[in-house]
Amino acid sequence: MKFEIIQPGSYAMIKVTLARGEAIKAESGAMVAMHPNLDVEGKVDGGMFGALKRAVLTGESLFFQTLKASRGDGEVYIAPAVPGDVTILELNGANHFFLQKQSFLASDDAVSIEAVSQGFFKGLLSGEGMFIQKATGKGTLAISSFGSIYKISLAPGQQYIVDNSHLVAWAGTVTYDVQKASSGWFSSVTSGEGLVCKVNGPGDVWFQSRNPGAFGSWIRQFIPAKG
Amino acid sequence: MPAGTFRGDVFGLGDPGQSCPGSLEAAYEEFRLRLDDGRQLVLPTDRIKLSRGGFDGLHIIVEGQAETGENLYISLQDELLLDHLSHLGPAGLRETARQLQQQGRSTRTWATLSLTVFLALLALAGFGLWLGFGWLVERAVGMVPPSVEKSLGQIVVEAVASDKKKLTQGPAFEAAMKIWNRLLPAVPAGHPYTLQLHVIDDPMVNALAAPGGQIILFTGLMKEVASAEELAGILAHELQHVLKKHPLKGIMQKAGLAVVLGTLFGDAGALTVVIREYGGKLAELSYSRDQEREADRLAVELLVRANIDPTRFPEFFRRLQSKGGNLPAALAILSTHPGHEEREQALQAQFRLLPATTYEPIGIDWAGLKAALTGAEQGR
Repeated sequence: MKFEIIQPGSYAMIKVTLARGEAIKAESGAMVAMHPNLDVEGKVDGGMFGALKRAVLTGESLFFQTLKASRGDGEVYIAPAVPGDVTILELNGANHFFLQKQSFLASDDAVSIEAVSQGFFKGLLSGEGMFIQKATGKGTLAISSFGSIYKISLAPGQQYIVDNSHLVAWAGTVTYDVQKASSGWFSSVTSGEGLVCKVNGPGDVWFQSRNPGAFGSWIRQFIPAKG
Repeated sequence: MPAGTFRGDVFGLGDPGQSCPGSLEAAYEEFRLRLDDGRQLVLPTDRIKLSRGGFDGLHIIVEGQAETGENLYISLQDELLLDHLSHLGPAGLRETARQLQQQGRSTRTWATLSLTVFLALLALAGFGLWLGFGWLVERAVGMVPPSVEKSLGQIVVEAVASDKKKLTQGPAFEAAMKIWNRLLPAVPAGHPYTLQLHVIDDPMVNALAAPGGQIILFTGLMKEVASAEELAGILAHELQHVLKKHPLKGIMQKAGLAVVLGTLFGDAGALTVVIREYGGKLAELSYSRDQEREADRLAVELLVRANIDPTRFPEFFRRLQSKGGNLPAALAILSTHPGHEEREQALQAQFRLLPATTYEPIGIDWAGLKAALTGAEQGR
């Protein structure tokens, strides 16, 4: 199984080459094109309770699509619904990743994706939602972002500040706290940053260059008022 | 994997932030680390610090300096490591391992408890909203000014009758208006509407109440009723739906919480959009049984005030229901007016309380009218 990023950038897509018998799962509706050797089917991944939990709590689809090379080798092209970049992560069985809701794009079928709570206040203030996704197991994982995606690697105890709603994924060893952007509330609000996430290493953190909520606010000014 | 060996992710081997998976063999004197890339490292147990960490606070963190000088940070998730250390580990780590086991149990319990409480609160909020939705709709309906309600009603009338002929003359129109004009003077004053009857040439067996005082009558219904008094009863019933704002309540209930809250905060725009979108489907809007019973009771009072025999009103539904299964056209009015049997019982109880009197006939030759309507239809 081989994951490749095709046309990285704002309209990135991935190509997954599968040997006969191999399978991946992908976000529902993400398949763009595929070899006829492949079969696609909807799957309630993680059992009905797990899928319901994921769908209700993170807003992901109830179903993942499974793409299986049933009749021979083949490849499939997969793209996210929103414009943005894609990056590839490796799960080695010893590590795991947390993903902001809706950044899962595709993975080896053996990778498990489940919804987990990140706590009430962190959920409320981080911009990432009350529930996030946890990817565990062994295999390749592709995640998507809104805008471009960038990785920083933190040593044990090293800290970094990421604006809220810009976190895409982080290693399970990384922790974060939500705090004011400046020492005072006035300065935090007037700087336009408000609340930020202070991430603590060790491990990798991926962030996105665009904030979906801010983009929504920007575009709303061009929508004519109802009436 | 041999007993006492645990998988983990190892930091501190080179580039900051970069990790390498490996296996940790926890012996009494030292921890031996075999990395997947082939390297092997040894950590003397007297240099080891154990703690909890990671995003969920459930990782077991082993920190220490290797004999070769590297400051290692190993993240493991296998709780058996703590079990192993608490029984077989060096004395200095046993107590810490037990404390971390207890800490892990507390973290898990707290996480489960907080998730359960959150989901329970979510369910409670949903239930409360469901219970309070009717109350919110009542308040929102009260916030819509009559002028806006009238405009909404016109949108509905246009949507329902857009591809149909609206009658302004002819025997069907004249008969309907004769009944309407008998009813109108008996409608109690004080309502904000200009009541209007729209007669639509269409085979649908139904009559509808739209917001803002508008009533739509299809000629298909006129061919199914047996007398002017039956139709008067149906129109009186629809008039009560209008006066009690049932159509607006029904539309708001269908439209959902966003529209109701928008209306409560003075934005009727969302409601207009919904009515424009779905106004044509008003024929499919059914009222609650309570609303139907209320409309029945007040319709009988209106008929009595108009000196029209109210006992003829339920005859139409009784007759239609008896042959409803064989009459697809009847399904429209039957499906939007539920609970006939209990409504009939309530009406009969109300009739028994009425004083014995002789009502003034409306005076329309209904059999003749039906023959004229059928003839006109065949002549097309």
